[in-house]
Amino acid sequence: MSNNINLIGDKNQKIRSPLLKRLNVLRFFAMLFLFAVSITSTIFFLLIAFSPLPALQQQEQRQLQVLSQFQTVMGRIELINNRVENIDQLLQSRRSLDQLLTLLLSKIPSNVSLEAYQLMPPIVSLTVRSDSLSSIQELSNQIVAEEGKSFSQVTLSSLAIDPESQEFSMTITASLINTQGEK
Amino acid sequence: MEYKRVFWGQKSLRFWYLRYKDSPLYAGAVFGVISTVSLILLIFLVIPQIQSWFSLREQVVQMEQKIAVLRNNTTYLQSVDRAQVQKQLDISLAALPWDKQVDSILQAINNASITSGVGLGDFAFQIGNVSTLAASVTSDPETRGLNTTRVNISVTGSLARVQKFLETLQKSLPLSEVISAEGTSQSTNILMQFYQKPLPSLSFKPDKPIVPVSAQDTALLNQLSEWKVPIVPDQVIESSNAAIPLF
Repeated sequence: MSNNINLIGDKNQKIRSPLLKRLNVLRFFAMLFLFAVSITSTIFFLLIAFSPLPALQQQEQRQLQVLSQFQTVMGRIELINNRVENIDQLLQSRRSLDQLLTLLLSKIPSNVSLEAYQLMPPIVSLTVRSDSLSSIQELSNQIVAEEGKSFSQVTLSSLAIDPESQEFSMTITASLINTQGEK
Repeated sequence: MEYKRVFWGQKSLRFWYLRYKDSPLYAGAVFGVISTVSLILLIFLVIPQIQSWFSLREQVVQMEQKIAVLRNNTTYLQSVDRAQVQKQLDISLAALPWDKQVDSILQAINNASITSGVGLGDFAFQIGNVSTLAASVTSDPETRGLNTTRVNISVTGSLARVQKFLETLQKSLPLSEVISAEGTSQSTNILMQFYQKPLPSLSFKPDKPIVPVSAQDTALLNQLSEWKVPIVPDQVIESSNAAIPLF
């Protein structure tokens, strides 16, 4: 049976049909898209409408009111922290000349007298006097022994003898390695 | 009349719908209108909603963090011993005063001389600008970014006593540092500097987490409290020949 027998049907319908079919599919997806957009919009509207932000803001205000009573204490604590930081740094870095003096005094033998001294970090200078050259040498040896520990460089500036008193006089200069003290 | 109805019907939407409902034109027009409306809604409604929701979410997270900080601050401040805080503040201010407290400096020197047994000679202050506002923090590394008051002092006594004097001063408040010392076995000239730090401008920021005074800092403050020079009322500064050329 031939298809051409049908006289009622539109001859162009077969040609239009696939296009229409495609357009209907597209129309369906467009409606689906519109539905999805509407649902998404509704969901986000609800999420925004029921946001906990206003409640949190009220809570924040209440906490701020409570904290305002402690304003002074907060300031004091901040001030303490601010000071302590500087104090700590200062104690770590300040020179400790008393320890240096103790070190130098401990090196001086009993029969050697200290004439003059100068502690001007990083330079330390000692002028000593003694009737015994060996004691003076002992002192210089002891200070030289500190080279590398406390002093970076030890220099014998002068060594003289007083002909009247027969006493030896020595000036020794040293450069300090570390002039920073401890707590 | 019938003619008019037919004519009216031809112009109604129903007529046009029935005329074109199966045509590709209609399907295309519907698709176009729906797509356009959907895109307009997406661009002008949904995307701004999403943006505002994300922004809101961020605000909520920030607010929750802020509230958590506020709660922690409140809990800490409610538990803190106010008397202890005041004591620690007093010690820290005694160690590092906000201005040039000459009386505290004299007290420290006097106490050190009494403890060590050295005699005090002349001493001179290099105070500089007395104004607290003139926080002339110099860039000199010697001053460690702090204000200083330099004192040149002459002491008499044996080296052991001078050493004790320096040691006592080192462990006295306000904090000081001996810059240089030179002399003989009987007298010594000492140059020292006392430190100050102007008070910082404090602002009330409750949402900033409070940093509690650490155990290490508390130990340091306890140590410093032992260095505090006891103030004796109406104490006279003892000096061998007390010439105090101030300013």
